[in-house]
Amino acid sequence: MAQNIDKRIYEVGSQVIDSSSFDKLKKLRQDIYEIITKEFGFDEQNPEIGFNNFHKLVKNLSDTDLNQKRVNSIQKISSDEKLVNLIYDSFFKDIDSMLGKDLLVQKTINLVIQTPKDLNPTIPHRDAPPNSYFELVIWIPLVDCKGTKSMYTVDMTSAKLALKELDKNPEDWDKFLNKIKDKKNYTDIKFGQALFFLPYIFHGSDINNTDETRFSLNIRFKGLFTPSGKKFPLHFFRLFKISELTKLALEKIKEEDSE
Amino acid sequence: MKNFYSCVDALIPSPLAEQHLIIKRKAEKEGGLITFYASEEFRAVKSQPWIFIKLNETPGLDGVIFFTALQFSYGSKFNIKLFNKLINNNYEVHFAREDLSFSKNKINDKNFNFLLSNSLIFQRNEKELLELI
Repeated sequence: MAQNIDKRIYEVGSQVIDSSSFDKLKKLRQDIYEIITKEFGFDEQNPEIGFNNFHKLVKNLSDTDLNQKRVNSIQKISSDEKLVNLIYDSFFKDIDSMLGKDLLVQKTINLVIQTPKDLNPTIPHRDAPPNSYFELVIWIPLVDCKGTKSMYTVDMTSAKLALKELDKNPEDWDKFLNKIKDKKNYTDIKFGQALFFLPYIFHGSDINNTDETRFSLNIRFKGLFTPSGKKFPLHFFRLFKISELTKLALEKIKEEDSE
Repeated sequence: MKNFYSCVDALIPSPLAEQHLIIKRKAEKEGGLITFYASEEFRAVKSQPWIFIKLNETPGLDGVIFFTALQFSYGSKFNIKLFNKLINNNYEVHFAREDLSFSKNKINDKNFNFLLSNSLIFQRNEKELLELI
């Protein structure tokens, strides 16, 4: 059954969404896969098999080489505007329904590669603050994910209680972690879907205890005129699109302020 | 090789050396180097009255590189008059931190609309905005 944005995201802070255009999402995955295979030098044709078994395909690389190639791939992917367009096209219906037609998009796409037993998962954190509370975070797995292969979110009520604890004892990180330990919701998600979540919910990942590698992307969209948080929009975002009304208003400002 | 004037930001707490480094990189990216530099007088950052005069007085310049586009929004609104004056006098206008560039024959409307839209919220009182809800 198709899943679109509904009240769940506003109640718990996150929701799994089906792609508005599976063809665009497949194209996005294929384009990224080509960058990865070229950089790492393997020739598996099927992206699903290649991504899931990435750790086996690159096992002969030294840690230094692996890291350098990973950085090179991330740099190639992060600044490619065509890939951003594909992300938007893959989920445009729900992005537009949440944020409207005046849209900023994060300047860079983040690519995360999490191999099995990788000892550097992402610690639980919120994006906002310091980011704007008005951002929408989109997490796009390029392979099916569940359990520790996936990312987790913590619902807003549990996060609020844990934060109160952290406020009382800011140095006791372990106590904070204990508060959310049983509240982690590992997203069960297929390729073809994305997790939309609000920037002020806690999220992170644990050590990937499966035998498959996770490839995922994350990116942020934000309304053009919404408050910006501590990060200047000009430095972290670029203009993605504007409505006809905004376009006309800006033209009018240009005309009148030039006189 | 192009010659650029460098205009650092007098308001932000970034050390001058850091600003020069980022501006220098932008100059290299645009195929040039920094010939002169200056910092705006604190009292004049909102109106930016001197930069055009300074460019006019300095022969052989291709344009100006500002540390950040925010320098055009320290007044009550984006300083379109100065922007147009620079562009119409064939000076390239570059913003180092945002990596944005404009010239008479190359005005990227999307990027300019972003600068203009951002200036509309830059000095907005967010508390007053939230009180409206």
